[in-house]
Amino acid sequence: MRLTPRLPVSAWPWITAGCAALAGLMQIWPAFHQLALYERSAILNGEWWRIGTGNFAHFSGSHLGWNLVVLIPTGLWLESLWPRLARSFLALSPWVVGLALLGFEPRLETYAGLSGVVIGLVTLLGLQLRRHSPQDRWWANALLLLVLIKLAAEGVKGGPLFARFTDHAIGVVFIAHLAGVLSALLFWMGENWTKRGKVEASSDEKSNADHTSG
Amino acid sequence: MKPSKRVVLGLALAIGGSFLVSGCAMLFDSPEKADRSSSVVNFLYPGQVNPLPPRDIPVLRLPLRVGIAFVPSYQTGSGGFSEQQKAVLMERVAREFRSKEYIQTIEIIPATYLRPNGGFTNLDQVSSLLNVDVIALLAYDQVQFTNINMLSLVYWTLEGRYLFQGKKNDTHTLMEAAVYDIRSQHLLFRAPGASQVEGKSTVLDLLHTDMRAESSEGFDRATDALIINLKLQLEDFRDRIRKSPETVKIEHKPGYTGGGSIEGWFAWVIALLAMGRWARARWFEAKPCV
Repeated sequence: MRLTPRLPVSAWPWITAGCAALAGLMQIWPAFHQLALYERSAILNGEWWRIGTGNFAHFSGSHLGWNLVVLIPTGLWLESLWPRLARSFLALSPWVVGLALLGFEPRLETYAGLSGVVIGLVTLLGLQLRRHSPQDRWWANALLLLVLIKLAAEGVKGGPLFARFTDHAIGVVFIAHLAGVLSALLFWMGENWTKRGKVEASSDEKSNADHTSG
Repeated sequence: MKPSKRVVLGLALAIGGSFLVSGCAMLFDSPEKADRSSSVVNFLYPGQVNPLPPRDIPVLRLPLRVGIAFVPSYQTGSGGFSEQQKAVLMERVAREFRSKEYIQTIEIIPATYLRPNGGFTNLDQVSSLLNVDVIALLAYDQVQFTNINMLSLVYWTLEGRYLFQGKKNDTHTLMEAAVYDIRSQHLLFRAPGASQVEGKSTVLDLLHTDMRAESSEGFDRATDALIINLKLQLEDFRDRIRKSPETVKIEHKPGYTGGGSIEGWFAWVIALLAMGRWARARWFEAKPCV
């Protein structure tokens, strides 16, 4: 006897699972990793896909692990509640982060890591919960505060708050995190703007219908 | 009474013989010692008894361009440590560290670029000419002792000198690598490597090949130990930077590698918040509505 209702295929959190699987695959398959890594010179030589795929490559198992620890629960939650928003964000934000790096961090030659996308996802979840779920407002506020603290610390300190990469040659890229948060804000505003547009359009139609019938 | 010619001749022979014997004994009995060395302190601080510590904190701009060089030695001549041998050992050390992500290049600096007592002025020139930020200065101290053993008794015979290994050689080698940030003149870390080689030889081998071969083996083994210790000291240095970031400033050059990383504390706080949310939801579910 099933205790939980069967989810339709369309409601499966397949893009979160897909992102995690892609990152895991890159970690165990070095050739794929090399092909996916964000490398500025390669991108400028025409290997444009690295702008997006670089986010899914990682420098070590722990680097991947910490990113997935936050990506998976946050992504599953957001995708189960707002699938269209979560899917479009996960599909597009890696490109936003990559383009931000290409445009605003010209000194960066090589980049890897999902954290820009993950921090964006946390921000998006916080913003959505704050707006649509009043009982979760404290939790959403805490999430957004956490993101702000992280960003502020990295911006002021020029590096992470506590941990560093085990390899000092790898610097933590603040712009990636900032781009993730800004893209979350853009997606959230876009979502609400389109919803408001739809509500206004439907209310206009309704009032027109009332006028016609009246 | 005048001594007879026989007595004079006998006396002369006895004195001559004793000189001959003692001469040979001196040749074969007394321990021999060969010493070759170089010193980082003498090179960097010539004539300074108490060199002043550097004031600025080192700024390491990653990835680093590293130079590796033997500090000049004061010994010259065939008994020394050849430049070719030095180049081979430097290449071995360099090979172990080239794959590190925080190292951009490792340049082997030829002996002609450093002069005795050159100091930091000389290092500044090397830094400008070869474009290096950090230099690993290698110094060494090798002492070879030679003693005879019982087999040396057969050296009284001509064949014995060729056939029997009556000499015991001890080669003690100490190598040291001191890694300096050239701009701030700071010693970042240092590592030693030591070896001891024991060998035997005939008197004729001794004059030609054995001592040199043992010297070379001593340097080889000391370099093995040096590489192991350098790796340990490098890890220790990285730990020190992590624990006390005020001691060394790390910057990144254009062309650096960057990563997007979620830190542990961030993940833990999210997990705690999630647990708080879950517990709160359970509490509200359990509480009967009034």
